[in-house]
Amino acid sequence: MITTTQLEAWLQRAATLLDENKEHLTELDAAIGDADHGANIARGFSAVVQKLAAQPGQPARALFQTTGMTLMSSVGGASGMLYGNFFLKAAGVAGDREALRGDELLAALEAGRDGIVQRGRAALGDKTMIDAWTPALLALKAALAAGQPAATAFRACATAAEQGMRDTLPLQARKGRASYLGERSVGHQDPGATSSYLILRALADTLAAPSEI
Amino acid sequence: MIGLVIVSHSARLAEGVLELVDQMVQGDVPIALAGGTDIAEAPIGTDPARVSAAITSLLARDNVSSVLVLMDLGSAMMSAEAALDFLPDELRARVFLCEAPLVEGALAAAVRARIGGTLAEVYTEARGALSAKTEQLVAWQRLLPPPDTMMEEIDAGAPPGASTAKLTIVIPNQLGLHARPAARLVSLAAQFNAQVMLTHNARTVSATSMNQVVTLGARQKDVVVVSATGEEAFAALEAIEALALDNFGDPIAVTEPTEIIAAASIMEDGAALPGVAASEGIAYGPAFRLKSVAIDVEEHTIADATAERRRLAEAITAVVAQLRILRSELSRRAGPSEAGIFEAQILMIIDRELSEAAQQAIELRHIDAASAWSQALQAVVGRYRALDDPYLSRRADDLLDAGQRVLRALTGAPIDAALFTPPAPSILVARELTPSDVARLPLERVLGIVTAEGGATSHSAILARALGIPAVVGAGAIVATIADGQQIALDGGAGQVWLAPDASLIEQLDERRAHWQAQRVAARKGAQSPALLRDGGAIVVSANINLPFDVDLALASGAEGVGLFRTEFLYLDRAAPPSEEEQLAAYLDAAHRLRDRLRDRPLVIRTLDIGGDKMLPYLRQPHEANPFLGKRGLRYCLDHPGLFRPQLRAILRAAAEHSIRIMFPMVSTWDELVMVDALIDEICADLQKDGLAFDEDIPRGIMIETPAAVLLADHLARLVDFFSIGTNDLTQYVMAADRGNAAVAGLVNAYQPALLRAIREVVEAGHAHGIHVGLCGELAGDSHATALLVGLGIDELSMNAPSIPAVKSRIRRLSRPDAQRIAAVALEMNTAAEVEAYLNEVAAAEQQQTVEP
Ligand SMILES: Nc1ncnc2c1ncn2[C@@H]1O[C@H](COP(=O)(O)OP(=O)(O)OP(=O)(O)O)[C@@H](O)[C@H]1O
Ligand SMILES: [Mg+2]
Repeated sequence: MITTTQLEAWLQRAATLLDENKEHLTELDAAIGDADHGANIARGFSAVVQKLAAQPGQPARALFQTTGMTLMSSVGGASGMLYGNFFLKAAGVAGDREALRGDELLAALEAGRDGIVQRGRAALGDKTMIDAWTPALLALKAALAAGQPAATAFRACATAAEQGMRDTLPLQARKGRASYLGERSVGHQDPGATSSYLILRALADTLAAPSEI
Repeated sequence: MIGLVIVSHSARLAEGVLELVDQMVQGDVPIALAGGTDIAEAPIGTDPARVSAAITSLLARDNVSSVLVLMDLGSAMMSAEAALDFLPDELRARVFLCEAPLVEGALAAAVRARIGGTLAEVYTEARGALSAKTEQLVAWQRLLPPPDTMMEEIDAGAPPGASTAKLTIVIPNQLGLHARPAARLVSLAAQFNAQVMLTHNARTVSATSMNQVVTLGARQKDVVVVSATGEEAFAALEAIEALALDNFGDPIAVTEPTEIIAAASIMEDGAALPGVAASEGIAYGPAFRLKSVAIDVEEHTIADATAERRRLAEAITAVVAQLRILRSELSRRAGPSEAGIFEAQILMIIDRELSEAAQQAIELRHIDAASAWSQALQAVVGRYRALDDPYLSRRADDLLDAGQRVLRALTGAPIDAALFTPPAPSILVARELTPSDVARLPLERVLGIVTAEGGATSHSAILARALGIPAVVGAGAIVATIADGQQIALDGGAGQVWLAPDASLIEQLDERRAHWQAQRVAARKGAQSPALLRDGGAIVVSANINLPFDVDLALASGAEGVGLFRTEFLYLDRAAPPSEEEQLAAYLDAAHRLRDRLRDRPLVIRTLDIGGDKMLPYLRQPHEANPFLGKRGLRYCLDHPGLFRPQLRAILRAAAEHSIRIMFPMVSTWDELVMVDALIDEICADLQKDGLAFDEDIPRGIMIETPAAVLLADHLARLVDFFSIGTNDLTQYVMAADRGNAAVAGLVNAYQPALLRAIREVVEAGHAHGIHVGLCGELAGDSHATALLVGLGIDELSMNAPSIPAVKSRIRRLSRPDAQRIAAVALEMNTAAEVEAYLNEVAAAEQQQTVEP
């Protein structure tokens, strides 16, 4: 089972990881966007950490809802709206549980990914964060179905996200600011896919670490 | 009043927009801003909470009925959508997102809102803002290519091969670039790998958008500049030039009569109301008003926009399929040129501009597909109506007609047959007949037609002439005052209508009518006698029909039976397949009509032939990459016994007392026939159990329309009682050429030597097994081919009613040895063109020799 304490730890770890990679993300966004993704997303997640610290121990739904609302109001860019909707949709599926089985968390993440699609209308291959999320969740689903323990399954998930992120390099952007660049977006890695990978890596790292309880 | 919310990444931009707008509306329009964020380090961005607050502040005002949200790009759109999610339902229903460009849209919307514009008006105005700007810029640049292609070129360093080419054409068509020529242009332009644009009177539109091309309003002698960019730019222009030189495929001499629009003044009793003489003949009787079938849609919000968009796309596809069926149907009844209107209708509803507007409304406003479609449709219809050319603006009705079909497919609203079926033979009175109206009219109950609008080239007029129904069109607004059942009279030759004919007038008309009818009878008499060859043998000449009442026209034209009853029409325009009883009634109706006048003549009922390009909205037909090579005809029916059984039961039951034969379409294997036989055996057992009368020995036949059936004809002949060669499909399958693809249209020609050989094979195989071989494709009605077909040994020719008299008279001039000689020569030829030229020669020679009595 994955406890809400672990989920909180995940979000903290994600905040740290995103902050460490802020420059890198901004560089990526400078190449094909408006050079704000790193700052945007780091600010958003640090706001999340502050909010959660003020209300520790919430059940999954409230935890994700707070996260989503905070991202929406503190990021300012497209990724804020997209990750925000991700957590709002995930909240609905996660429900008021204190702990989730691997497949339950998967279902919540899938709902979240659908939330990104609902808002952003991106398809696979459009060079967006979806290119990280979709292969990642497919890998997670396969690993869980094969009966692998959560730690292994979520590691596979992060690895697939990393691959998906790298695979955005040769793509031409069809959504978001980068799409205005047309063919010139080819040859650059998508910043949103990169932050998505970092978020999923944070999740894998959290679940691999010996549980705090 | 309508309030506006301006969403922008930049607070300063939002304020700037407000400044510009207020200059024009002086603070009269409620506007709220949602620009930038609260985040000190990142003030540029968007925040759904701000959008939501701006919306609620406006809705809280008493004078604001709805709110239109205009936004810049990216996250601004997402914030606006997210803000809608946060609103309570009752408020959300009053808020709409608008895709107009921010500055232009806000200005236009505000100006309209200030004078009390409705939501729809404000929205339309905002959306139109960009086109006003476009028009202006294009006007200044005159003959420069459209801005976007130009930018692309500059951007791409203008590679020499991909330059823009231009062509100036002068519209030759008497009626301007109206629906049919426009349809041909649009289909042609779409075939090239090039972006083709048309510029006319400073407006530039895409040549692949039907609605845009027609609403250019280009009239005869107007100059239109065609520009093309892309790899095939030159080829596209060449083809378009050729099409223009060919009068865009229209006949050269269309005589458009001056349209007389009578004032809606009170007519003196007994005076004749002048209209346009559309179709000769005299009629009087009770009036029957054609009710318009407006479909009510009630706008509501939907949860799953993606599913709703898919529903709309499916409805459009289904309607396109219906229109294709109607097109082939009408081209049989009245000739291919009139049927072109359906092609135009298809292009009108698949127009990206229209469907995208509807799809966007679903997406952005989460409204139901029917409302989204209906609103988008009204907007484009409005543009058509605004054209100041009366002929072109009337195309609004064509679009509306096709658009209504989509609504019907979406809402499942059935067509009430009573609205179209007069209780007794009547004179049909309507504002104007739409192509759909005409396709479903029960012609035998139509004594005459009177319309308020329309000229001699309107659908009503062309059809009335093709079908021999007296008609006066364009009789003016006073037509609206005619009551149901009121006795009226008309003289289609003189273009006169009498709203209150008195006894002496009727007597006079009677006389004229007797004279007219005598003439008609004489003309048709030849058609009624059998088609005997000079040396005595006979060829059966029968009719292809779609609905039972077509039998009447068929018999009047001299048909000796029905060689093909296409049952697809019973399945069209409805929300569910017809029941067994309904079908039984239709089959019996057709049989009775035949029997009254022609005992012992057969009625061949073909089972449902769907698939290919024919789809029915209520059947889940999987998407196929190659529908013509997919599940169609018998293949589909065998797979769907729930659909097939009621039809088989109805046919078997109808055959109990009538000379009915059953025929299966799209057969390609022995197994399929074995399966059909087994199914029929089963059904016979069921019917026996149910105590119903049926004919288990019903003669069974198959369409020969696949190369497999040709090659296997000697085997298949052992399983069936007759063959009927369907040359339309057979030609496309033998030639491996899609008849809908203009690029290979030349191959789809029934004079192709390969096809002639196929026909010979089938006849020989059939006759070797002693079975009857007919032919029911378009070729059967081609009187130039008659000698050839008789020479090949065809026993029966089944065709559309209007072709019958000419084919019969050809047969009467032939002897079998002559025909065989002609066929032998044709079979030796190498090309379709040679065959065609030879047959023309034969026909011309014959014309000179024989003087028909
Ligand atoms: N429509 C979309 N669907 C999915 N992902 C998207 C979409 N648009 C942008 N993205 C993702 O968001 C990332 C950029 O996020 P960022 O926060 O920099 O937004 P932005 O483009 O600057 O926002 P804005 O629209 O306000 O300019 C992209 O790299 C891409 O992965
Ligand atoms: Mg950015």
